[in-house]
Amino acid sequence: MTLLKTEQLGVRFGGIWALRDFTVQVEQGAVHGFIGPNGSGKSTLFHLITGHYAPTTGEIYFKNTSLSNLTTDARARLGLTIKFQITSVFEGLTVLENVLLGLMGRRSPLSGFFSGTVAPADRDRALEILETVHLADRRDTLAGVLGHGEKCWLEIGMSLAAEPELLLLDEPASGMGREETKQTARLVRNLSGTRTIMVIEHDMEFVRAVADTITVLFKGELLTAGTYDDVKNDERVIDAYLGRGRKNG
Amino acid sequence: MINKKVVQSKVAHLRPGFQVLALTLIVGTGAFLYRGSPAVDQATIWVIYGLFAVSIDILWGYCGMLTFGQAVFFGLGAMCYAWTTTDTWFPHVDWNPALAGILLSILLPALLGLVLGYFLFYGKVRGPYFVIVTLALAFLMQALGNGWTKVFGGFMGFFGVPTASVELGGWSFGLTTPLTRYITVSLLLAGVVVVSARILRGPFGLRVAGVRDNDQRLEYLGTSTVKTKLVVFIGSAAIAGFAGALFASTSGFVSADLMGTLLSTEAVIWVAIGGRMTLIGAVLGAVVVRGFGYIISSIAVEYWTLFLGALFIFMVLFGSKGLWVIGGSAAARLSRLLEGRRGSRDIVENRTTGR
Repeated sequence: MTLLKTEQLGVRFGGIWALRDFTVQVEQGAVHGFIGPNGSGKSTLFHLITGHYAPTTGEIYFKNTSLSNLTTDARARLGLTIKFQITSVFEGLTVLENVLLGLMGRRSPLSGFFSGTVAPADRDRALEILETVHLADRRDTLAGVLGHGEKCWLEIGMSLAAEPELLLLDEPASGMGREETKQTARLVRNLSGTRTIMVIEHDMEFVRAVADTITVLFKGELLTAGTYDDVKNDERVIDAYLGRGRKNG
Repeated sequence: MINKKVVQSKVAHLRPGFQVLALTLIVGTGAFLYRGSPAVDQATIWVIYGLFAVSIDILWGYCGMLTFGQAVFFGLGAMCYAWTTTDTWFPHVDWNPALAGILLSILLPALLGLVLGYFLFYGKVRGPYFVIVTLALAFLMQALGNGWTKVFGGFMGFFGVPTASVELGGWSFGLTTPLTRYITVSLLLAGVVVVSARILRGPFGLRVAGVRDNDQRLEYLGTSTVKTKLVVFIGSAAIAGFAGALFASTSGFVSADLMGTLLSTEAVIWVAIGGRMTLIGAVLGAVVVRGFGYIISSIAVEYWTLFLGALFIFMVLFGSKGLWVIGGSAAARLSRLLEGRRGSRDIVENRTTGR
């Protein structure tokens, strides 16, 4: 079943099409990898899906509903959350509070208004999530003092806490060492199954380890799609990465 | 054992209220000893300003939205009370003027907050732009109030606004003496602080903290920051309006300047001095600044603003956490020092046992 699809999606900034005529289908339960050289439109695609940018052309359908008229937060409540390329957490709050905010994301802002405390069930669930992202022992630490890798995991945990059907991960392993990257790949693999995950990553090892399907973008357009082996041996992909594909100048 | 724990946690929830009452008790007694009943009436005003400061602390300290126009809601609340109690428009309506005034002083500022907030927050006005809009609002309302004599009393304002006396059924309650006024206002302040603290400690408070820390991140998790900000803005406006009505009832004089920039900015200074993100700190700031102002003014009026400015600069430079937090850590250090002296023998004993 298709969870998310885009139809002739395009966005133009000034004279440049950051993404053009882009059609893709993301199957439910799959880990869908997006690769491509810098500036090929991967992050732009994610920003269009979350509602950060408005498309110039085309449509995005999530669970067969058009996202066109929905605000960012409404899209998140519908079940799609994102881990940004540049890690963004609540630096002044504790690790546990960060995850709790994710947990409460899809509820009404006024839920538990007078209760005076966070429900024990929510707390337990948040601790469970911290366990999965290897941060259980840092729960009372301020998120701002975490290391880079830990912040990435926290952001994944926070996005996960909102119980999304579709999780967008924009370079979850960027800036990480080998061991951390492996751990992150295992984490992403474990999260898939019930959830659908779209992931952008430059590290090909990582992509090979996690992705079921890979879509390659180049200069804002779809270049090719398929499994890791299909993509790896595609001449056009090799050209694009080596910079030989400049047919149009 | 379990019962004791439950009782303890209940006391912990009421703690901000007790802190407020302890503070007002000290201030009230101090004022009475200094100048008797008239000083207690002055202290009542300080406590009301404390309530006003709480409304700013919720908006600025907790939600991160600095405002230079909060007095608009305070002044409007005071106007509401003055309108109903010195009513000449609806002579045939049989109502309880004080009670109607207090209710209106909460509802009308809340409504204004809703309308303003709706346009500001859906229009994505934030940060410095929000500050500028609030400042412009204060200028606007002050000019409007001074010009529109028929409604806002103009330069003369409303004199002789009666003190609140509420009659419900056969039960009547009049704030006729300085002492009853002071006690009632203190209790009301404590009540508002207890309820606000409870809300801010719960899930909603966490969302508010999320807005303050990183509102975009919060939006991408599904929480509507617009709605969250709107609720905070309305609540804060309602508290400011309520404080305004209490002010009108206590001082007996209401003018358009109450809605203006001077009170707005001074109130922000109270919160900065007393301490953001502690409701009691906001109260402390208002009471300390106004209290010292009262003492200094009776010695030399001309030095008052100089003193206020110097105190503000000093706090910004050396005590950005505010008086409440600084006082708290100083008290902790002092008690440790005293403890150390008393417990020196224990330490020696512990050393011998190797702990």
